[in-house]
Amino acid sequence: MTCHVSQPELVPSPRGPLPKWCALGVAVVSMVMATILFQETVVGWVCVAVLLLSLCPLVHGIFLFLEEVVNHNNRYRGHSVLAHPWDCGLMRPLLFIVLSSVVLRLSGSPLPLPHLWILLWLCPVLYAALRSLGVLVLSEVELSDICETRQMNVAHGLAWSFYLGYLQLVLPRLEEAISAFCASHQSSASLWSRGSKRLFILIPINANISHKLENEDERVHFYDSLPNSQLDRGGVRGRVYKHSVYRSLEDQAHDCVLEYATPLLTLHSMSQDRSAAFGEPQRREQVLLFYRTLRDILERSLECRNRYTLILLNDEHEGDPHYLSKCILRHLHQQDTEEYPILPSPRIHPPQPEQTPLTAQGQHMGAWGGHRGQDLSKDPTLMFSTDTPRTLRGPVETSDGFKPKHNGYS
Amino acid sequence: TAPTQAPPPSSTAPPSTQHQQYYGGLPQPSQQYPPSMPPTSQTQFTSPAPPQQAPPPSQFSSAAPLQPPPSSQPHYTSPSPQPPQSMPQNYPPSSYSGPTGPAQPAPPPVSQASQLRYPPQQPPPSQHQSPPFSSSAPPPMTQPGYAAGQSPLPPPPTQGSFPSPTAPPPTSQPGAFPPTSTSSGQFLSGPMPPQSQGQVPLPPQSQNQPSPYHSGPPPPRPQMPPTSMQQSNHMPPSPQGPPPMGPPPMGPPGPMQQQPPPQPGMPTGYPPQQNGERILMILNHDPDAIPSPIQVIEDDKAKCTEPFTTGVRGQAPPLVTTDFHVRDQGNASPRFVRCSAYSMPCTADMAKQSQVPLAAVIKPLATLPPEETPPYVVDHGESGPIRCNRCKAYMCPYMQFIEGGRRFQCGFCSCVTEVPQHYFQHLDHTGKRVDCYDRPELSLGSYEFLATVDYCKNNKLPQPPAFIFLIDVSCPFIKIQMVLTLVAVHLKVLLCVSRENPEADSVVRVGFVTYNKVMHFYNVKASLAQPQMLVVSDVSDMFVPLLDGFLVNVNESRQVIESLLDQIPDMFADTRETETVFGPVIQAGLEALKAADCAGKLFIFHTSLPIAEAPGKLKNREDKKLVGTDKEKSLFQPQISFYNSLAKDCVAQGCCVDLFLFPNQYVDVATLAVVPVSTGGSVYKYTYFQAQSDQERFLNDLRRDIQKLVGFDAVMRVRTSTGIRATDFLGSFFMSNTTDVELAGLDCDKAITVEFKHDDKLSEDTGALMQCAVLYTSCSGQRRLRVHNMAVNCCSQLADLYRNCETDTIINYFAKFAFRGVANNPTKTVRDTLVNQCAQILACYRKNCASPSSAGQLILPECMKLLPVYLNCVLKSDVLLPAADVSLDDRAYLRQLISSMDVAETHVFFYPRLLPLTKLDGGSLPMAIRDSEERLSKGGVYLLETGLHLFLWVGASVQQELLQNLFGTPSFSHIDTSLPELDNPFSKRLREIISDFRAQRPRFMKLMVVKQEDRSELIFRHFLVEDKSASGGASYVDFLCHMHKEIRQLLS
Repeated sequence: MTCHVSQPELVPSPRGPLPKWCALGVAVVSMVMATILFQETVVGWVCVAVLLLSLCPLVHGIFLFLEEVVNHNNRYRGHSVLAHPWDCGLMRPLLFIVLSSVVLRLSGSPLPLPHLWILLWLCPVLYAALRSLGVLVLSEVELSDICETRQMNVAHGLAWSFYLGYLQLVLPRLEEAISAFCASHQSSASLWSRGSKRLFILIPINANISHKLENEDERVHFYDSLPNSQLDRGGVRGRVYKHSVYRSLEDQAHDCVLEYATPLLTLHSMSQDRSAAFGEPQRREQVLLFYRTLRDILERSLECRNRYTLILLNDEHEGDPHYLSKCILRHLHQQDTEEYPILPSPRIHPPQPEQTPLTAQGQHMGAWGGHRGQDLSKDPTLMFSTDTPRTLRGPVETSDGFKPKHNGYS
Repeated sequence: TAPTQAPPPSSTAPPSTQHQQYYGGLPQPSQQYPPSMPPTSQTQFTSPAPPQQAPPPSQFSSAAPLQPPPSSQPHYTSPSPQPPQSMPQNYPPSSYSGPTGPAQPAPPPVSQASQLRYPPQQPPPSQHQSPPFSSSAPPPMTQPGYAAGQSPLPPPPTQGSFPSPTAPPPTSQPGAFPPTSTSSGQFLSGPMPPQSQGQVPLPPQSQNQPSPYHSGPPPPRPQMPPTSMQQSNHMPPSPQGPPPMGPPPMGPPGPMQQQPPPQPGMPTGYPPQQNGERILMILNHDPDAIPSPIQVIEDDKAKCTEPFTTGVRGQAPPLVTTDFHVRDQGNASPRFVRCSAYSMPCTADMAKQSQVPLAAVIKPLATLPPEETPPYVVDHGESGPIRCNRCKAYMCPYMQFIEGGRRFQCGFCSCVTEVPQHYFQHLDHTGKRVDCYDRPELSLGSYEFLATVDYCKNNKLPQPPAFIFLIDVSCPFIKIQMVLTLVAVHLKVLLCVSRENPEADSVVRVGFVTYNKVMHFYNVKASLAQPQMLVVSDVSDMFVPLLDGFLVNVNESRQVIESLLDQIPDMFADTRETETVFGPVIQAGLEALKAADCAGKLFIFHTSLPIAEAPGKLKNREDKKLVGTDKEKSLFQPQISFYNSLAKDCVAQGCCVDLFLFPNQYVDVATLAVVPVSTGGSVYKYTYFQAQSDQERFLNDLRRDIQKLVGFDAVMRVRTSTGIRATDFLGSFFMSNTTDVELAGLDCDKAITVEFKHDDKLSEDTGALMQCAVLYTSCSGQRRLRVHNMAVNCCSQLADLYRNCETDTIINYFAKFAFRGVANNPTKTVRDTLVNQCAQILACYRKNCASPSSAGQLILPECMKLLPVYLNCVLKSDVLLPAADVSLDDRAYLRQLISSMDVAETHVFFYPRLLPLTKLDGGSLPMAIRDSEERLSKGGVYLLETGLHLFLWVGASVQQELLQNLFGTPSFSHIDTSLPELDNPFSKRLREIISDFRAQRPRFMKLMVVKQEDRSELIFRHFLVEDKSASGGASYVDFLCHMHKEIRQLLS
């Protein structure tokens, strides 16, 4: 546990709805106060404000729309941009403008009309100007939030690619491969435990990956490779996927399948390449985001469940030569002694006819909490029926329906 | 280097002799004792009482009144014309076993029968209204001696008036498990296609059907009509169309549903469980991969190879299930004190974050195994034990001697105190006192001080305690036979007392009272030839009518006592009084002890709800409809506050009350148990008592209760180092302030759970110290102070806390806490609180201590692996989740019982020990198996022990040879409900194991033989705690899933 760092704090969690709640809360309070202050005119004031606020994006949207109309040839796949006015953010402001105008008309303007017209003229124009000058733009936080929620970061792409292009293909076969490996390497078989029959994916935060793990920590040795698995993939016949088994030693040797997450190499190379515009802070952020995304993807994945372990390696432990082995062993220990897989599975499937033997066998082998035929006095055959599903009937009909069926089978 | 071998200091009296007597092995179970006398011995009633034995007249409130003396004083009958010495030899050995048919005890001559009929029921009406006799009665009339034979008593109403024994209930098992009550409901709930019904005999099936009280979330179709036809129709047809021979879709709620999910590699061990919308399952390839209590217990046993030494601070002891030796090296043995955490968090914040309860279960007078030395007794002379000036902690290994030994610094409060001159000793080069290892209080964790007169009540040395036996002789339901047994047992047990514990016997005094609507006191003074009876009919203002001769020494008055015990059954043999009192009974005992100015113990043998007009009268408030509602809690509260104030008086006097209940119906244990619980006594309950089947249990319980080491008038105080404080105490005791635990009686089986809270920061260097001091009067009348010291580590990392805690102790705390809570909160709230706290504990570990892992993994710290399974057992217990057939009395009984249990008892109570008996070779026990039906094999025989019950489960297809060895019959159907004593190694070994088990537990466990497929199997199945319970308790796997869900909710 010595190398334990509170990793939850390292990994950024998705942003919460706090700004929304604040905005709504303040708005509600303000509305109440405004109602108290202005009494009857409050509706008019609100309409004026909404009208102004909606007009600003509308005018700005019109300018954006113009650009789209002019350059619509290479976008929209030849369809007219006129079919997509909402892409420029025109529809919703328009709706609000119409609504608020109507209400304003009915309730009467709290401002003298000339003043109102001046505001309606200047505000949108200045807004569009300020937007164009870069004064009124989205903050970095908003941008980052948008990128994260829409999965638009490079880390998202890499994580999905890593999962769909690699993990999803190899993880379901991993256990077989490990079993085969254990069968062929007798000396190794005893060094595998319940928790180690997984793929350990190392994710160093600094994306600094050495191609041989021995260079990182001398207590981790390459032992052998798992049997290759081959897949036809994208035109490549029998593309080979292979994994390396490492032996990590502390007091006792443990074998496990270790590898770095290779997409981090891409991130690392990008940070080395000037034209990628990717600095070290961004790289770190992207690595963490990669970790988070991959974790979330794998959590949801049924075929990868319990077949992998993500190990985030902190870069603050550069001084410790055995940091890697310690981390691996800590995970191994926890998986062996403290973790118990409990998983929600999809909805129950209606029993299939071909499952009948399985079911019967399951009962016979005493699968279920003691209510089985072999061990206790329960007679499992009672639970089976050769009857076919029938429509809902009343109790009387049930007995009627029973007889012919019964006769039919007896 | 071996401080434990240090001899006791020279000033100390060698304690071992005294203690060994207490710790001595149990006596052999006594044989059946013929309780009834031959009819001939009852023929005469003589009046041996000399007049000078009469107490002063003012003591009487006599039921005997304004009639001429011979006829108006019907209060004493003296039975035997024979010399009392010869009586025991006169018992015919066969007289007991006969049934209580009216014929047998009826004495031959009719006139004698009329004398047997005891008068109090038929006094002249004026007696009842008459004020206490004292002022008006002339002295001679108060004379208690009475010659019944001379009195012209009215004849009894009818000669043949013995109440015919009520039909025995089908089983003597307490009402908790009427064996048939659930079967029909179960039957209805089972999805059952009509064909199968036609093809397979139904009766066995009905037992196997899932219970209607289905656990877990409601099935998706809760409104399902019971017909199986419709059930199957609700299921969508399988895509391939219904093949004629394929199984139809099954009703989801039934555990019989066994289709594995479509995923490959699904283990057969744990098929999916329906959870409303989705299934939760354990995706392991072997079902054993969920934490197994047996595995943990066995691992701990294997790990424990050498004696556990208590010298190292903060070292967690082996589990309670492990057999280990303890060497006291400065901290109390785990047999006395067990902590929930041996590494306490330093700050209150950490403690709050982790939610791990910081508790210690203290069993101050615990019995040690013979090979361990009982605590040494230390005498510090006239001035009493040496203590810290400020916090008054007693001298202990944590005191630091400074300034060359002239002063010492308290480890608890850091105050510096002068060492008294007579206690001074030089220090060696390490700063230890030279005599450190010669003095138990400087080197050991547990020891006793002789208390001086300053530590006694009213500053005078205590009188030896007294035992008073109060017997309910109203017999509405209880057969006379029972009273006979009971009384015979008394005699026997008292004789045992003298044999086992001569020292205590020489000083303990005994007294006898019988009661129904009125109280009968007995004068059993040694100088009397025959006992005398005094009746007090005015129970509203209780007093004791005699001082001299009520409490007597057993040895001196043995003959009189024996003669009394012989007569009691006959005196009340045909009583017609059905109402009884309870409050005045305790008051009477209390008054007697007050009059004698001593502490003591009341043994009350009570049968029914006290409905007679008297203080403490109760009404029947059993209402099944309240169960499960918010008002349920009121049923656990005492009906009236009378008993609370009575309990307070009892504690002030040092009057401990042990209650033996023989109810046939509701007796309101919740109220009756108030006094026993507050005074540190025990409650024993024998529902539907039947002499044949229950007498062994009762006999052993009573004997053990009388003989066990008990301290009277005890006060316990727990001192802790600054930073933590004992804030909450759970157990059987009374507290008049927030720090002192007062126990009128504290016996060797009572444990008290103490909870600690932070009030400041603790330091990692000094750790957390606690000292539990119990001041008590021993059975011999000596005032003593027993001190237990315990030091645990402190940690600033949560991971250390989780590495050094003990789940069994945590569960003990949880159970007691929850069971206390049901009196004030709805049961559901209590259950939710438990689940929530457990989830918080585990979530905190996951968040702060574990490596990040997939959300599908449940992470359990190694020390708390079993927390979910044990907690589930607590949640499923009868108190928190009663099945429909569990009576309120049973729940109230269990509730108070568990409140004084120690860790070993709660462990086996909540997770019973289940042993396969197929192979019994060698001296070692077979390895236990998990409490799940799927572990039982049809061809096996299993022994299940809960600490209160003992079952022998016999599979339906057990080998004939095994049956022959065990039961003496090769046929399964001929197995009796009891275990015969057969002369073969297997049978002998089994009975040896059973008697071993019984010796380990404070209460006698009646063996019940359960045949597979028998009705009684339902009772047995109730204790298979890993399975779903009939009352709706979740199975282990379900609960793990539920816990996992809770944790995830907390973390997200």
